[in-house]
Amino acid sequence: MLRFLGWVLLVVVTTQSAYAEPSITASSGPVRRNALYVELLGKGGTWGLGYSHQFHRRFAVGAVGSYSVLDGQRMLTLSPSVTAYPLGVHRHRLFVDLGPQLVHLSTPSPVPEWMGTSETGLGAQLSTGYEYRGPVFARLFVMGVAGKSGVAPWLGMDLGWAF
Amino acid sequence: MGVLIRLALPLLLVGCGLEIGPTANWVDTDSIVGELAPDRGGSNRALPLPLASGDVFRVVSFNVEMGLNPDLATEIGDNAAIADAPLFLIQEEEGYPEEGMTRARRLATQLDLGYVYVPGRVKKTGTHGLALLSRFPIENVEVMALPLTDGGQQRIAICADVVIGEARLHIVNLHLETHINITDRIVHMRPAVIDLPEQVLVAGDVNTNPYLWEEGSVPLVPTAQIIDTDQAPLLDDYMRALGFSTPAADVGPTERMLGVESRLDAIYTRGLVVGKATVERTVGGSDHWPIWVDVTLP
Repeated sequence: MLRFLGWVLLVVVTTQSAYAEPSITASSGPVRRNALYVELLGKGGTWGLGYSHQFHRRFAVGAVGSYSVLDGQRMLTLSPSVTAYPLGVHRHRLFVDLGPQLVHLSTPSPVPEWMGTSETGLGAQLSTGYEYRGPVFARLFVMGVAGKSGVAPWLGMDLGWAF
Repeated sequence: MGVLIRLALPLLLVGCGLEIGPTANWVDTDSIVGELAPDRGGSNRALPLPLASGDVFRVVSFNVEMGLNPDLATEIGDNAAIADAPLFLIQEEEGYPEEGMTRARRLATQLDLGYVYVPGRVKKTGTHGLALLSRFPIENVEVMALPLTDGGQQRIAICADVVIGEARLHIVNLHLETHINITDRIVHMRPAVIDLPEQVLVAGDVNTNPYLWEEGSVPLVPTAQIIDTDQAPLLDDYMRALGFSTPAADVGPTERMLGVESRLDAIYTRGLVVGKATVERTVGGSDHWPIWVDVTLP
């Protein structure tokens, strides 16, 4: 898995020089380095709240967190990540996002004769898709999640505010 | 931003599951009339040797996928492990008047067994329910309507005494809802298992799928890669808390769908000596595989 992720990063870094500069520049309007957004599906199960900070024209860091109560089961997720922008024109860019995913699931017993259970797990996610970073922040992406039980495809959508 | 908050609010307000309500009642099936009345009959052929206390008795649990496959009896008969089993707990059986007989009766006739079919709900022109097929007399058949889940269908459990010479085996056959989480699954099943006699066998399609569900419609597949969301070991754990043995805990999958294998079926026993359960994956005719266990008669 690590080898695979390493190859992905290598591809991202080597391809970036072949394309136009992404446009977090003064010429394309105000610089919007930060974004707050709601993520549907994606890294937080069915929803999450995310933050992204672009510290370089080709890189950003961020995190998505979520808290859900599913029929009494409480799930907490946190997914910090590094984002790379290998391709893009003005506010429209392709992004690749990589990071760990921490999940805690607590299952309180709904009945007196059982104790319930809880578990914490750590996995990794790799996602890629389209990002628009104007006054509105939006992403549409596909992703893969890897953990102790295997790998699964998923998808997601972000919608928020860049500032 | 207000739009975002409005979008997020419904997602924050999920999670209202089943409540522990009053325990549902077992109802004598002889008292049921109309379209949900039970259908019973068939033969009670004797085994080559009469069984007695201390003998081993094979019990099979099988979800027959609505009894659609007319070759189901052949599939069962071609499997040496279950062909001559004296007791089958059948889930997802159906009956339609236009077919001339219930599918449980058809299967029992083909296997030369006695049967009782207990409908749980009306479906189109017929009914959907559970059945018992047995070489031995089936007595005291009762049915329980399990608590309804959001968006679910009426599910039932049936219990009965199988009379094997001097011995009586109390059994419960059940079929639980599909897309619910483990907390709701326990509350859904609980009325059928909480007040059972000390010596009992419970089996059926408990639908312990490997996912955590969002509102019963979105399986959180990525989450299942990172933490154990498989409901089967958790339901086993609950039944152990009630003093049950879990002979099927290590049998592996009993169903494969879209490439995902799940242990949806289970056998639980209490106060009985049992062997390890086995899944017969060579038996076709259904989307589930039959699972069986040998019980030493009390």
